[in-house]
Amino acid sequence: MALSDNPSRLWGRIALVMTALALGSAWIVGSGRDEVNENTALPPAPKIESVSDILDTRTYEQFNAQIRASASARKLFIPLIAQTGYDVVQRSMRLNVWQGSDGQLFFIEDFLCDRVGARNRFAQWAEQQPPISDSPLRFVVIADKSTVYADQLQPPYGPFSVTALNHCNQDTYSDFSKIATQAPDLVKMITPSAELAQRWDQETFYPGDTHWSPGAATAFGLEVAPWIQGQPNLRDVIQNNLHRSDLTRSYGDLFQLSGLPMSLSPFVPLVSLTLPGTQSTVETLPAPDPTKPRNRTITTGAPIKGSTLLLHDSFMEPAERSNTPLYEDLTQVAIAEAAQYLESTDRKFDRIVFASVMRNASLLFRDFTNQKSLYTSHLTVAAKQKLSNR
Amino acid sequence: MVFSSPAFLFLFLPVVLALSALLPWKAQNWMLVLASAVFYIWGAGGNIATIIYITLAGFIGAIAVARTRSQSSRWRTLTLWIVLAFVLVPLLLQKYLPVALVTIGRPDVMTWPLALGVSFITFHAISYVIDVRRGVIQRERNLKDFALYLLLFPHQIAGPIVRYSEIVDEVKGRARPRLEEISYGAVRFIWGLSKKVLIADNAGAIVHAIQATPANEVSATTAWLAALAFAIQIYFDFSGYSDMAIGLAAMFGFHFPENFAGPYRSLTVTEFWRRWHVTLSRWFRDYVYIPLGGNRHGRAREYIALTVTFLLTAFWHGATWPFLVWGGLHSAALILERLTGLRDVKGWVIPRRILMALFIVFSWVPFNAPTLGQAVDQWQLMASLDFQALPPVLIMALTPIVAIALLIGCVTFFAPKGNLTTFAFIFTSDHRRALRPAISAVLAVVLLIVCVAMVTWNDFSPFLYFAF
Repeated sequence: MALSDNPSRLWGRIALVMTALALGSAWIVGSGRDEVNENTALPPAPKIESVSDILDTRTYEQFNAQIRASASARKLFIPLIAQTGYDVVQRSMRLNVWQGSDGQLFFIEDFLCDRVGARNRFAQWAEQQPPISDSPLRFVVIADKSTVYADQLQPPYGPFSVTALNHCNQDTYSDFSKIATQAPDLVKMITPSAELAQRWDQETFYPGDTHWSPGAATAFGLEVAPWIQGQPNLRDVIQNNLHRSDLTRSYGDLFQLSGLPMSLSPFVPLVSLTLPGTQSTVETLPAPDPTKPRNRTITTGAPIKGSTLLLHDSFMEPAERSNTPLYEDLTQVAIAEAAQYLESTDRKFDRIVFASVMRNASLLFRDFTNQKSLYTSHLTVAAKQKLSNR
Repeated sequence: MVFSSPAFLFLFLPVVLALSALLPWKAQNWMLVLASAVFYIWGAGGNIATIIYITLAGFIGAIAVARTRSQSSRWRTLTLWIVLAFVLVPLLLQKYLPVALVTIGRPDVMTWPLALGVSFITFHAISYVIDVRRGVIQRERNLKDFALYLLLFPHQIAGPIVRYSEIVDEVKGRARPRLEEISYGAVRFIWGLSKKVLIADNAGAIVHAIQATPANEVSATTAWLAALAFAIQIYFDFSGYSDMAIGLAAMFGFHFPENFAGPYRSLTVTEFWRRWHVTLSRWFRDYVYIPLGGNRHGRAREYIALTVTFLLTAFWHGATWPFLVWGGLHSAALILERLTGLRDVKGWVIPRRILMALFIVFSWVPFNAPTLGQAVDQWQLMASLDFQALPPVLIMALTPIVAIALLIGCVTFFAPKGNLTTFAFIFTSDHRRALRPAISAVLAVVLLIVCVAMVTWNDFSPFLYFAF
């Protein structure tokens, strides 16, 4: 069989095959998931079991997602573009990350706060809160990286100032600080400090991470436990019993969001608390989402007696070891799953602590306001008594 | 399926290109029909039933129309209208019935979802049936060949609107494309892909960011930026799609008509419509404007025909007030140009270019607004000239890639006329001879690598004109 009646047409066919191979190789050659893909969940493979599956657009959406996630070109290009942005242009190529000076990355959500909405939600929340001392409901708000590192927001170049970037955030910080002053038994504002971090030779925040370092996160134990217990001298006890423990890689969530590999994140020592005369036992509770583990820690001889439910976001994780041994019976659940957890258990708690970074805090207040009865129904009789004695 | 999606670029296109090269030439039409069906099902699933209905309605309807050739004119016209009504059924039921039900206060009545590309495929079928009625073409006797014309995947979703007379010879007996034709097709496809991925999607990021901006942070700065970014997005998105369609068709031996000819370089609105979405303008001219009398029955009739044509064009895009206002603006501008003689003015090139650029940016506002009220709000902000600093969301959104894309987009408004005026026109059909093939090929390979990089980098982003 003659391949073609014309050399130019034969070359045309060869060109088509070569183009097909080149395009196909961008997907197939070396395909698979690796470090650059680790921040995207592998989409489920489509199942085709009937004609209706073939005619269902969701089948092809799953195919599209699979092809996109497994394309080998991702391995080459995503780190290349991200690294070019980070090192050469010094500006994140992703819309969700802002690059300031000294390679500091910031999360866009920090700047998009709904200030008016936050104020309204907080006002609604505050109306429902009893102004009592020793409240069984406590709210902890952690200042975010863009507030603490506001002086590093300005990129090293650029025709315009970015001071407007953090206006909303700074106002929200000031609002929360004011609220914490007005209702000292209800709300605590924690500002991660360089001093605490430096004590452990750590930075307050690492360039590629939106979370505080383990050293800076010791602030949680140091400030919250004495606040709940009403014993300022507890702070010294904690301070004297903190020590370095295992090395761990800082999260590097902003590196991941930028498309940069996690390997850029430094290893840092965790900071653990070991109180004399205490012993902890950890029980892992069933959790529907493995990325949001639930656990219960029983610590004999801990200074904070009774049962405590700590509802928290990812900011709690670097602080976990320097905080947990302070509570006799501490159950920790992700805030996002709080309602689901409480609906599935009949346990009662002596206190419930809500801990969240600033950007999520106003939403936390809204959710609390909407489901207040769910939370209070899980307080012990004594705790409910405190609320009713307002 | 979207041309710029990984599924198309890394799976569908390589398979179809390889099949095209390796299968016997006689099997090409079957292969393309099947590939086009897969392409459609991949994007629209079970809605392919709608497209099969239009195909059969057009095919059988044309037989009926052809058989009335010896009948009286009235009978032939009646047959034509009946056939057109059958062809239009899905478009009316899926696109306009839901709007009508909402208008009469019955949004609870269940309707059909809008099938992808139904507007374009319906217009192809209508042009075919009318051309058979007019005797411009013979009715097609082979259903496979007709299905290939109607469903050919390069133009299936968003045009260009190809007349059957333009490609019937190629459907019936085209030769295997030569290396030069394939090279041209590939370069044209890559150029279109670049327009979409590198410029339109990045301009779109700004449009989306502004839509996400709280109302109290929007000023004249953001309103103008939103309008400019959308003007850039829609041109590069749609013309990029047309370039890709034309390029793909060339790689399979078809020649599609041009759809864009530098519309943002126009000096008048009349000229704009000769350069923007050319195949749609041509469709409305031949099947609506001229049958309504065109410009041969006095000025009043001409203006009425013009207004009706533009309102129908707007209605084709969507039965909403913003689209109708957009169409009304353009028809009013066209009539004004005719009344004042502005259409025929020579000279004053720079002021006219500036005026035209402002008109283009201004008139796209309702096209992108969900409601007329929002369009009016944006116009008011633009007119207020209350320029303030950019809100945080926009500072974030203006990444280096986005800023460069916007700058390149702006060039289209200010590029001088003539050949090889900007890099953006290097690969368009009328200038392709200006560059040596080797340079084009090297540039195309570089652009393809950059596009593949961006496709893997960016999230999935469908074409704007799929909505129509």
